[in-house]
Amino acid sequence: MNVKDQYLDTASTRSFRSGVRPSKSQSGFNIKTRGQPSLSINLDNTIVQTIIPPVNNTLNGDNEDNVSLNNFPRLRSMQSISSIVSRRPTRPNTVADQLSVNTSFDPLIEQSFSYSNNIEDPSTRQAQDTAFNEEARKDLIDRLAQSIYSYPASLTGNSYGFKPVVSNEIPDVFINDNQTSPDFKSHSKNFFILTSAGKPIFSMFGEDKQIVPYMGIINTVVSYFQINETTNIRTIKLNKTRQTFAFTNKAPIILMAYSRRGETTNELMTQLDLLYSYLISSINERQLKRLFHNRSNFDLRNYLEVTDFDNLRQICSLLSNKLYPDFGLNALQCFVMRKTERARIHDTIHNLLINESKDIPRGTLLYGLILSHKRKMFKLCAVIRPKGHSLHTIDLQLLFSLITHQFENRDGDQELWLPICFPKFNSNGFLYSYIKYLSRSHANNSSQMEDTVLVLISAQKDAFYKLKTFGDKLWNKLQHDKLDEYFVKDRFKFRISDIQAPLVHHFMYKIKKYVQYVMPEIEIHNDDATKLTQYECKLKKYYGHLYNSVVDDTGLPINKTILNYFHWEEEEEGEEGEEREEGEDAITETQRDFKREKINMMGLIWITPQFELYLICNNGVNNKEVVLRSAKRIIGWCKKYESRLFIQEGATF
Amino acid sequence: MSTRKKNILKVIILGDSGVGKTSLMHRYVNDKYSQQYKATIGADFLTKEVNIDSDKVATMQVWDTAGQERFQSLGVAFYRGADCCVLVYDVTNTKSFQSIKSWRDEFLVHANVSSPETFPFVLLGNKIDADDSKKVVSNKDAQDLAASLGNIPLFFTSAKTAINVDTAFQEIARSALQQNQNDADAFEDDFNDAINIQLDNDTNSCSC
Repeated sequence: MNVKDQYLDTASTRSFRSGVRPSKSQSGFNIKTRGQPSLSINLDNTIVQTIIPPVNNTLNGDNEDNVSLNNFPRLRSMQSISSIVSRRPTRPNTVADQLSVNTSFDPLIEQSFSYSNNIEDPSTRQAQDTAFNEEARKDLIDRLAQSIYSYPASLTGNSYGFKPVVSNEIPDVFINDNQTSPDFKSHSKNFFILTSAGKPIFSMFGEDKQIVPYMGIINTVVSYFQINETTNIRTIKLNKTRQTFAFTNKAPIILMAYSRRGETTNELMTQLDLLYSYLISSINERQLKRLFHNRSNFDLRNYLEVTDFDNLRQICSLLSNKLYPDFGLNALQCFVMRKTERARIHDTIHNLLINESKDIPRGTLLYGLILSHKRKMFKLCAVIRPKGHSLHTIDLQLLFSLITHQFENRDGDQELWLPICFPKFNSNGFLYSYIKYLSRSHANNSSQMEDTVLVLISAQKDAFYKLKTFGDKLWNKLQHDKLDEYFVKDRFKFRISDIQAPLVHHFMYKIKKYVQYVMPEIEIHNDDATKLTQYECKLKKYYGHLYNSVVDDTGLPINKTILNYFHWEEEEEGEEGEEREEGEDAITETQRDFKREKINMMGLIWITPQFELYLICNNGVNNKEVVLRSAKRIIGWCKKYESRLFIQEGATF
Repeated sequence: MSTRKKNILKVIILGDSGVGKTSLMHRYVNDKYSQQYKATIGADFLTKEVNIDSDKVATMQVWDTAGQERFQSLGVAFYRGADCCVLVYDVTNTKSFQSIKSWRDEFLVHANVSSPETFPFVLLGNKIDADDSKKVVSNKDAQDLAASLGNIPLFFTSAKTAINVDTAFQEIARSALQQNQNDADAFEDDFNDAINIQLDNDTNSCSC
């Protein structure tokens, strides 16, 4: 463990308590029965909670309340087993240790079987059909079995067998804002892009007819401040309705973000910057200025391609509905590989570059990447770059979104030669990218598998054949040496359960000097896409709050070194009956026995000049010491496997 | 999402306070008329899809500006990037007719149009439903003015009784589209924006 405790001494520790009022829309918390498997959500959650050893409640949380199932003797016994586990040696390093962890858990799985039988016992008497049906029961057992901390770290390279999933049933403390009403004004978030003449270019939601007048108003507001105050308006906030409007004036383009999600002006402004950067990546700034020179009535949206709108839409959806740490942390994720494996790949690339210098003279290749692509997210496998140069993460994110779109529904053998402006590199000109899918998983289960993409970037317009030849040779060589196996399958993806960090639900860890981050694989039971989105949205908001708790108005951390705990807590609820109105007859046996779990969430943010750690605990956790210990373990684990988790050098030339 | 987006035509309506700019716009877009007068504050925005010469479709974005003096500082914002400018006077109000020329000049000063000589204006004499006794601007004077402003189209309209409104706006849409296309054609594309990069010096290096 290399983490120095001195950070704690220098840290400015601030504690926040957000008085989050549970909204009525969170009906998911009310236990619905009728044998619905949704019951297992709460069970799942509670079991994770029971792992918490009894602690002194420093943050006025009431542990007894959280464990809402404690009238079941079976669960009690689980609790005792769990506390044994959490008292085990800090990090099992030997196989024997890990084995003992495993065995100590095995009875627990059996317990959960008998536990779910237990539920059925009282209810079978009266309500046979409202009890679990066979399928729901299996599902519950399945999930219970999965929700338990166990199994050794996959990063040790052990065979990739059965892996339990840690429960992702953290409560949603945020107001539900996924409106699907046809009225575009009902969306909790929207982006508008228009010209300085008030002509529309793009909006995330809304038909032409609806948005065109708004474009005029946005333009008027921005112009008003420019003319009368000779300044640019940044934001309009309506505290009562939590509405925020953020403006960016990049004449001849104006951008506005609208949000009802409690996002800060800074968050919205950086999001607008990404959208603007996308426009520039497609047109480039010099061209843009020329288009509008003397022709302020220019209709830019007819100059853009259909692809551009699709890409803008996709970026908007990434920004709004996905956990998108690439952007939030301004860092990239790296494909986990052994140090020696990555070194061999980089050596191969490097040697090939030297050997082929006749065909691909120095200066032709500017930058190269091998990427792993899954579910529209990219991870770096290998990087080829000139010494002392690297591309900005925003530029790479733009490239990634282009790749996603260009290769959607296409066969693997396609190659692409793409002029692209990297706005953070040089906003006035184009670079040329040769892009090819090296291996492509079958379309029908592409959400499960990784694709591998090769990207070679040149400043020369006519370098296509040179890069293509080099790319082919490189791929042949990698295949010949069987190096491709290292990145066509993600053997080392890890889950939070692989790290012995009790009470932690999810984390993100960034090493600043590499501009890269790691986080545990996000998995969802049965790969349910809607559930995945909901879960990601939830995480996104938790992390957003966490980050915003330590930044100032300009969006920068208030201190170089910060350690902060953030607490989401439910206010005492007076009457329960309010939400019962429509389901009075639905109160079944199970509902009498269960009650809704209290929301009591904690997160930790730790920023130092070297790294950033963001973590979210399981519900009901309020022991700061344990959380801090877990945080240190995560950092220690990431340090230990640093050369696997991060690309440290790449193939430089 | 496969088709090309419709052209957006920005049309701006100018004229003295009370000449019927808002009424004309409402008559055209919503086919409604209200007897009640409500001064426009700043600007009103309305949108209408238009068919031009029965084969072209565009979205007309009408910027109905306030005629009152106190909103004039916003002019620049409104005028920028217009495709057509509609000048409206009231046939029962001499002063509003006399102001037309200054409205036009005001527009040309602020709009920063590519060629002021050819920029499309349309002149509308509104309220022709009024009693002849009340009409103080003669048709002859109006025609002379239209000719002196570069032979711009002239229509006598009534927002109240819907006389000539559609015809006038058809003409407005046509000139706007014409202007929009002229400007688009004038542009010659040039993709020669390759970046000159020397790997051995690090001026282009990025700070991340």
